[in-house]
Amino acid sequence: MKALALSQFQQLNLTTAGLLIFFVYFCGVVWWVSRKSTRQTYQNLQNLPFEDGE
Amino acid sequence: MSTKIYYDDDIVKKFVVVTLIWGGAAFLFGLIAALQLAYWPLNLNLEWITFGRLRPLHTNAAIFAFAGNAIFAGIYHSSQRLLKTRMFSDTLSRIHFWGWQLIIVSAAITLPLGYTQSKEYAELEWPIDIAIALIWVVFAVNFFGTIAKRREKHMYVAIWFYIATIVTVAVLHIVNSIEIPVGFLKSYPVYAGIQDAMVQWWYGHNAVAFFLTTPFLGLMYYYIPKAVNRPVYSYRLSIVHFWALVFIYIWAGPHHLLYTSLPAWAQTLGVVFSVMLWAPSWGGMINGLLTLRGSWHLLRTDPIVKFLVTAVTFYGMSTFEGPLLSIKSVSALAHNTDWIIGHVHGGALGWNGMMSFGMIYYLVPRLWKTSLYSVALATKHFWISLLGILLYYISMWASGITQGLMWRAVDPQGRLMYPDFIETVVKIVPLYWVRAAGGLLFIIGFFIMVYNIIKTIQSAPAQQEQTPVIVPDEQPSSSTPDEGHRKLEGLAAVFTVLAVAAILVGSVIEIYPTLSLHKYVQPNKITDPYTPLELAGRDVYIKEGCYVCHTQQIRPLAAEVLRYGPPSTIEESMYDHPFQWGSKRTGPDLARVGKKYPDLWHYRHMIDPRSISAKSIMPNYPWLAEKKVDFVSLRKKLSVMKMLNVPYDDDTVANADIVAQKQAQTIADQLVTEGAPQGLADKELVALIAYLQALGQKGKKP
Repeated sequence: MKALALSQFQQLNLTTAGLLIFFVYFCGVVWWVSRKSTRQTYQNLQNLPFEDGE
Repeated sequence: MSTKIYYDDDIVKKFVVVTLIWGGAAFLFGLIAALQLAYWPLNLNLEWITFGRLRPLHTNAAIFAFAGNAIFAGIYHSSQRLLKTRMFSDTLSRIHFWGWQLIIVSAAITLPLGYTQSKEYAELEWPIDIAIALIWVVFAVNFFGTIAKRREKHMYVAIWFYIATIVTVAVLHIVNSIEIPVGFLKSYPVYAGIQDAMVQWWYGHNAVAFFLTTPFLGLMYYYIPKAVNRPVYSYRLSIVHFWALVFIYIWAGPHHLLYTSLPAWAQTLGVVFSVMLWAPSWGGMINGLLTLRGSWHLLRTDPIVKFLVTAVTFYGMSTFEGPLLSIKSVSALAHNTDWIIGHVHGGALGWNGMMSFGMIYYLVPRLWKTSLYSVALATKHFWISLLGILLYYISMWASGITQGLMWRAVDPQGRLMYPDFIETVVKIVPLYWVRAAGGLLFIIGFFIMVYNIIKTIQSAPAQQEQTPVIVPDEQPSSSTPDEGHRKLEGLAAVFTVLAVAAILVGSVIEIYPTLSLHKYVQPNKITDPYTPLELAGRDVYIKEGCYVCHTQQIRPLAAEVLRYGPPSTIEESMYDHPFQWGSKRTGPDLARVGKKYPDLWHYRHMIDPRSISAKSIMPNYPWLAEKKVDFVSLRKKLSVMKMLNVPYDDDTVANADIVAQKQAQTIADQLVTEGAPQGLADKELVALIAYLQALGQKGKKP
């Protein structure tokens, strides 16, 4: 199983697929946190350090 | 609804005070070590403070005592406020505090005495390793307990960085410290050769990532907004920063092993992910700096802001330089030189140091309910320290690049232009003085701060009454709907599992294949294990910290092969528990030094290196000719090695001490005929000579 997995490292299409998956995932995260609708939430979150009661 | 609560500020005060005490110690050790390189007699012929033992003490003190306590101060202070609750348990806080200080004291005792595993930043021996794991668990329980009882549903980005720090450091420490004890303060790691190198630098690099970077980023995301009284520039960017950094950083370790006998695929992964780190690191830096938008005037007036902004700037410079140094062709020049020393001090003094100082100036007046004794002194501290760091950084760049170029210089006939290693050392000694001057300035600045802080605390009101704060109770349903990442932020357990998954992916993919060493070893090149005496000598080599200045890994680069011989192979270090590849060449590589010189050469060189090489900066090791070899423990040592699959036969294990004494007698007799004094047969020096003469000789078979 392990030997099989290691032998696949040579397969360019597999490693390329891995790269694409991670890149698409990354773009997804960036899109997801940038959605307009989340503006208010993040504004609340970024003010947390100032709500310590001091 | 709202509640009256008391933050536990006493624990924060405790951590701040010890940060200052250990910081002073760490910086002084560093200054002495720097001066020893510029002027060797400062090793004072004393084994306890010789460079090879002092340097690990300096690095451990700087990382775990100074930066460690600064992190804890900041985490205990900011977490309570961000989570709107007191720490989970005051008792656990105190156990964490006193336990950590005890670990530091035990390190300060054992390292000068030569008890070391020789794995960089993980030198401490197994009983202390266990203590570190236990205290870290206490810290983790206390921290996650605080998260569990928090009054604020959402976890601010700083808290995520603290979570990543706590879980990852636990994984790194435990995996890298798996070792078999052979005595109360002596052990051998279960890993050998390329396995040990891979695990060690996976640990070593991520000690930088998850002990000196992620916790400090958490501090940055809290203290910069607090200091300038503005929210972070982009909260969205901080989310991307966090996940990208945590996922990518864990892969970068192999960039410490470029051109070594580590399999090429692992090296390539290390390079690719190191270069990728540019993006999240700079995203975070920009996020920190732009938090000052509209408040840049504070940079002129407020020393706290000066320190914090400079720290983030150094973070940006170090994280630019790091990926650069990870590119193979740059590494070929920079690796093993002072450039790397400059790089880490840019990070340690510039990023960790300045961040800690800014935080301390912010914390002390607030904790002791007073105002800073002198803003002018704090500003002086800033400028003196900054000048010191710049002198340090620039002198090490010049030194590293100069020496790296001299090592590789080849004339038109294909011969080394500086075949004598000492020529390249003499050239950079003046820069060692400049570096020491930079360090001195940094320390002067630090002591100005200590004076300023003491005066501040003295001016505090005698009655330090605890004032309660009023915090709103957690609202069951906030104004925004719970969905997606905002829900995730509320689920600390799920969040932690995802963070662990992110760091485990890279760890497993890189480490697991190298654990099956036999796959990479060519059966016809398998080497012989060390003889019992050579193993005893190897332990002397480890104890004296020879690996601090000498590598045992010849890279497949033309100039290196000309200077030291054929490149090192996987098989040559396959029985090395621990590996001794080193990371710095203050002296030449020793991978093939065996049989290059007669025994007497080594005897004279260890007693007085100047008698062999007039300009040498190596310390004298006169005690090696007086201290006796511990022959008795050899049976145990060999049996542990055998357990770790080093092929010793039962006879050799059972008679290890006798076999060793016999070999020692032969070497000692030979030394006498060459002109050395009588009576060396049971001394450490003979064992060390046996080991040095075996280096590079084990792979040669008829």
